[in-house]
Formats: sequence, C-alpha cells, structure tokens
Amino acid sequence: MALRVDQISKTFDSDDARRSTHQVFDQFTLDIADGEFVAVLGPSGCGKTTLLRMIAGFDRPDAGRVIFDGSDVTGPASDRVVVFQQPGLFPWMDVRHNVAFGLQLGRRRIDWRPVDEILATVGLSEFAGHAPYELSGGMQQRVALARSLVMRPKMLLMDEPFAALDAHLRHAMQVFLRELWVEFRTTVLFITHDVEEAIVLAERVVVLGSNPGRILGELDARDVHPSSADLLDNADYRRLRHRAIELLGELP
Amino acid sequence: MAETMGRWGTRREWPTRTRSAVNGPSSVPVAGRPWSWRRFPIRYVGVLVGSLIAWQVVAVSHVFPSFAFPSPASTWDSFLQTLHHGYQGSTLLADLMVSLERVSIAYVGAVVIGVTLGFAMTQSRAVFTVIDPYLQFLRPIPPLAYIPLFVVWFGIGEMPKVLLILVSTVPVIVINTINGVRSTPNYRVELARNLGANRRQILTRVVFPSALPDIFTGMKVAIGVAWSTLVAAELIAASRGLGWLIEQAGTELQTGIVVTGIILIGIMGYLMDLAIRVLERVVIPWRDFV
Repeated sequence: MALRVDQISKTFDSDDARRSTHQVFDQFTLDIADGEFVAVLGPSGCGKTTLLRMIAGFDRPDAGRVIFDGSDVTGPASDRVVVFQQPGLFPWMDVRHNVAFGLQLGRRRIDWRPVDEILATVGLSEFAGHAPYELSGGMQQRVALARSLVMRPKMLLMDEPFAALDAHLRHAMQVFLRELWVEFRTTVLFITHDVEEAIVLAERVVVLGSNPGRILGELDARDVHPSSADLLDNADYRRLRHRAIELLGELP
Repeated sequence: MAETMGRWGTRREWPTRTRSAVNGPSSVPVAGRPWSWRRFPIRYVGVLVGSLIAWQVVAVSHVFPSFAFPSPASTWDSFLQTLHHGYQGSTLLADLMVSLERVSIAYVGAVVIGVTLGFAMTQSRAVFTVIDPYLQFLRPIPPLAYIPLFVVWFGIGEMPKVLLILVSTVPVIVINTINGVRSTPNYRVELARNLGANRRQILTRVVFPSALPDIFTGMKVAIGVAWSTLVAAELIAASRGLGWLIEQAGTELQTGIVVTGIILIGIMGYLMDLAIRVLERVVIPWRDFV
C-alpha cells in the first residue's frame, strides 16, 4: 500500500456566523495502491484540495493518520510532489534551473543528465535556456511536471493541474500525462471536478461528496484512456459518465 | 504608490491563463521598453522649451524684482560664472561631487541597512516588535529636527551629514522590503518546501528574489528622499556642496546661483533614478510578468 488515509477528521473555522466551524472530513478513509492512478472527483467545496494538502503534508488532520510508504506524514517531502493548477515557476530562473531546483538544494554541483533527460521527455529540450514567462501555459505546466518528476517522487499529487488550460491543450496534456504514467508507473492522485477528465485519466475514480467529505462511490475506469477514440461512441465511457453523474446527483 | 498598486493588481493574475499557444512559445514581450532616442517623447522637449519661454517672459516683465526672480539667461550666466570661477572658494564641480558623494554613501548604506532590517523584521517577531514602533515614530519627523542633536553627537564633519540622509532614507527601504517579503506568493514557498528546501534556502532562493520588485520600488522612492534631505544635511556647517551653495547664495540674494543649485539637484536625482531603473531592468527583467 503506497498511501493510507486512515480515519482522518478535519475541521475549519467557518466564515458562516451561524456555524462556528466547518467539518470537512469526519473519519475519512482512503487507500491507494503502489503505482495506481486514482482520480478524486467532486464538486468544489467537498474538501478534495484539503485532502491533497494533508497527504502532501502542508496541512495536518485533527485526528487520524496519513500513512505514506509505511510511515506517518508529518510535513511536505520530495517523495510526494504536488503539481498545482498554477505552474508556479520561478521567473528569475531559466527553464533548466527551474527543473533542477529541487536537485540543487544543498548541493554545489549536480548531475545535469537527469534534468536534461526529463526536459527531453516533456519535449522542451530546446527551451531549456528560456525564461518561464516566454513559454505558453501548457509548456509551463510541462516544466512544472518535469520539476516534480526529476525528484523521482514515489507519488504525484495533482490538484486540477490542467484546469486553467483551454480544452484542446487540456486534452493534449491528459494524453501526455497518461503516457508518462504508463512509462514511469508513479502513483498518482489526481484531483478534478471534471467528470470526463477523471474517467479518461485514472484507473480508479473516487467520487467525493461534501459536508463532511465522504466517498459516494468508486468507478473502475481502466478501460478508458485519454487517447480512446471518440468518447461519445464509447460504451464504457458513457456508462461510467452516467454512473458518476448519478453519484454526484446524490448530493444534498 | 500607483505603480505598486498596479503591480499588485496584476500579480494575482496568472499570465498562463491569458495565453493559449499550444506549440511553441507565445510571442515574447519585451521587458519594459528599451530606451532609444526614437522613443523619446518629443512633447517633453516642448514642455521644457515652453517653460523656459514662460520663465523668460515673466522675468523680463518685471512683475518681480530681478534680484528675486532671475531670468533663464541670468541663471545661465550664474551657472557659467560658478562653473568657471566657483563661489566662495568652492567650484561648482566640487560642490556637485561632494554632494553626490554624500548622497551616494548614505544611499548605499541605507539600502544595505534597510533591506537587512526589513528581512530581520519579517523573520523575527521580537525584532519587529522592537523596531517597528521606532520606525513609525521617527517617520513623520522632518530631518531638519535632528540637526542640532547630530551636531552635538557627531560634530560638523561628514559623519552627521551622511547619517542624516541615511536616517531619513532607511524607513522607506525597510517598509518596502517588508512589503515585498509579505507579498511573496504562498505557492512559491510551498513548492520550495515540497521540493525539500529548508527555511534558509526558502529565504535566500525564493523569498528574497520575490521581494526584489518591491525593494526596487523602495529604492526608487528613496533616491528622491536622499536628495531632498541633502539641503538639510548641508546646513550643518558645510563649506561645500549643492545644498550649501543654495543656502549660502540665498543669504546673499544670489538667486541665479540658488536656481542653478536647485536645477542641478533635480538633474542629479533624475539621473540616479534613471541609473536605478537600468539596474532594475538588468536584475529583475521578469518584473512585469509576475
């Protein structure tokens, strides 16, 4: 088991005057196997980003444990790397140094081969010397992915990484991410509110409901890929999509 | 301040959202605008010429006595006179250089101290609690008020003059540095932590560069503060310097020399501001994209 989220509870102070606190999770449990690609699908406000932040170690649960690779998560570490919606590249470094950022920490000299290899993998070798702001949004997000992958993380935590991209580019990035996953078999937790994105990308889709965050159901989406031919003609896709919408419809 | 506000306004937007190029880089915008003669707005020359004509017209109309309101022509004469023969034993170039030296030393000192203090105040609550009240207390006090104390404490040499400029310039640097540190986007800090950066590495590799745009804003405001404190500083028993020149010539009703000094201070301040803008473009060419 790569990750075990074990009966976690999390409460936030609410802005709502009638309720002083907002319970995001109450004894929530989720298991993710090694090398699995799991999508967490849910409406905004269901706590999926909070879940990701607790797995990443940015936030701590009030109760319960997050166990990664056999030990408790106590803070962020480079074996669980987050890719946010914003690429968040450092504008004062060129693309190559952005990718090498994690490797260079605490080291005077580094082996640049993995950096250049990963840049080639994401297809940006020729932009290694460019400033991040000279790249398009999709290219920036690929650099962000490369910066995470170069750390050889055991798990990728992706928080709606393609939500800011236009439809065409989003599809291209989905195909690309899926290919990367097939190649590296890194465990992936992918958070999205987009039904199609969850189904095509992941092997397993966890549908989340809110107040408090709970699992409404799970879908086995191994048979649908981003590169699958016309999704609307794909019976598996239509069935999964129907089921997902059904589950989401159970929301209060 | 408008500049700061404007940048804050754009900082929250993600440049990626507005670009949708799929393959290949989007057209690369040029950082700021490269300065060239062709771009130099001709209307400013018009304003300059117009002002000179208006000045000359008012002067020759004798609304004001000529000793009180020198014409551009007589100011030019005073300028040449002071340039070639000096004034009360000090040449104009020497006055200019000594003032430039005082301002430069004080300015560099203020930037170093101000940035260090600003960072210390954001990293330690104790330091902030100790320093901040003084900063807020000292800010509204005009530099002139310190002069008697500084003379008693440091005598009448270079020390009190440089210190006076420094003391009045430090707060604006400190405040902008604190601003810059506090406006560092949280995602940058979290990303760095995630990739394994410790507190010191986050500070030097993420927070410091993120604060640079605000530090430069502070530096640009500070250069004006430094020059405007100069005249006050050179009231302290100086025998040279542009501030001294203005003060001394004023007591003798040499208004042509006074105006010369004023214009020179303005030009020096403008040139130093220009130099900092050039430095800014070299150090943080990414400023406009974040």
